[in-house]
Amino acid sequence: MNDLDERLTRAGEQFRSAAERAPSLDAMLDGATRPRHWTRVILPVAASVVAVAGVAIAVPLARSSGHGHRAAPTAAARPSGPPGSHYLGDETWSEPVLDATHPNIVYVNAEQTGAQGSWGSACTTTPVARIISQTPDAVTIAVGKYAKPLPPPPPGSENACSDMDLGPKQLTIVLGQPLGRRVMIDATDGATRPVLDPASVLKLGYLPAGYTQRGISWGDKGSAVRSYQGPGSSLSVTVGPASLNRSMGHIIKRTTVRGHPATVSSDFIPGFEQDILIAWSEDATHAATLYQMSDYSTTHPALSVAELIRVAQSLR
Amino acid sequence: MPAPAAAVTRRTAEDREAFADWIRPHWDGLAQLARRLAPPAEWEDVLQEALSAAWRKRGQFDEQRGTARNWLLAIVADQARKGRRRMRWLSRVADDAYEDEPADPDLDRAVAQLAMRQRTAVVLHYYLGLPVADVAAVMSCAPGTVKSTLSDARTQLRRALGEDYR
Repeated sequence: MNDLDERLTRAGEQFRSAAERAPSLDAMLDGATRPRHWTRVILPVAASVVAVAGVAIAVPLARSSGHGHRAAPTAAARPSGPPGSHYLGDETWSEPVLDATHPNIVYVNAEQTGAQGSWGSACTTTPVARIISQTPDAVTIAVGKYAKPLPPPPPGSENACSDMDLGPKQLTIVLGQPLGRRVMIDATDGATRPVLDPASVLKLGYLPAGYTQRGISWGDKGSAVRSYQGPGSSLSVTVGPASLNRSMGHIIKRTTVRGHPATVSSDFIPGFEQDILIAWSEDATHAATLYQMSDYSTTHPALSVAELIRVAQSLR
Repeated sequence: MPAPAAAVTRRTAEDREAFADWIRPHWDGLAQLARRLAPPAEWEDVLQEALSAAWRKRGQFDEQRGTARNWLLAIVADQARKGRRRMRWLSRVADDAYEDEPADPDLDRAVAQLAMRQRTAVVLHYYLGLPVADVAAVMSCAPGTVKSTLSDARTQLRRALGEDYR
């Protein structure tokens, strides 16, 4: 266990042992079981509608490199949504990724929560993407948000939604022509969203038996992540800023990957197999990593360090 | 035979008592999670709203899909997330400080500055002492995702705390 783990564990033990006073359950239950009025819905709903802005981070890996261009927001035509639902307005979208084999298909992420519900709660909504315009220079996309009406409340209670989903939904956009060098613009705020091109992300030339590619997505700080799943672990190849070249808890070995010095390190979570990170710098501004996360739910072993290095050295 | 309105009221009171008995063993943990995840001025509101949501959704709880504790913690985490969104947009009140003096203020400050998913995983795992499998149940994701989230969080914490990276 390293210093940070010890510090976190100690802080947690102190937190649990400090008998801080919890509010009275009975008093709070009075408020919880009292029927409420829909007029209280307005403020949190309005706030959550606007609080879904995605953050676009420009990276050299993106096909549309994103110059921070901000066009005037486009007035979007009112779209049609799923049957029985009503339109709640447009929301921002984020993290566009070009399809690996179809150059006219782009995937974007949009939130599914926050536009309808009772006080302090929100229902799942359905985001629907639509193309506002396609020009030789740009494609403008809007995402509308839709929700179905709530059923009438039962006696002595109130409607609620079982929204527990913390993640966004990926939407598919089929363009009339390949995206090419065109930029993608969000109609909601007029901002350009850099598009991740799978061709720009390193790919494994050697895959151990049972491992398959899963997909490509944006990672933290404008990085790109290519994922693989195997019987005993998952692998992710990340390419991005120079700060990616780091090590985890302790260094196991030093090696060479793609002609660059690389470190092999491992982290530790009590009760679980160690995860392994291989990291190196591609150039002065870019770095890459291969991360193996062991799968605790299977008895199949994760890849050995030697095998993982072999996998890393096959990256092209 | 009581009038229909009186019967509904009585049923609600009986439901309420059963609900209180069901919640009570988990109440301190729910309060602890709200205290750690929500802005200091809002954590009791978050707890109240989570309790309201749990009351309204109680018919949806399915013990075949998980424990009551994890279901309730998930509701608190969800309410805290929404509360932080509201705070960010309505008032931009600083949320990186706590009312009570923590045992390790530097660490607490660093944890408070983590992204919400990372912070949720760290608080559930380290502060509430949940195993990774339970954290995954609360966060509705795979245990592997929790592990990578914790790993990313620790990387962020090391940076924030200035620990050597070797």
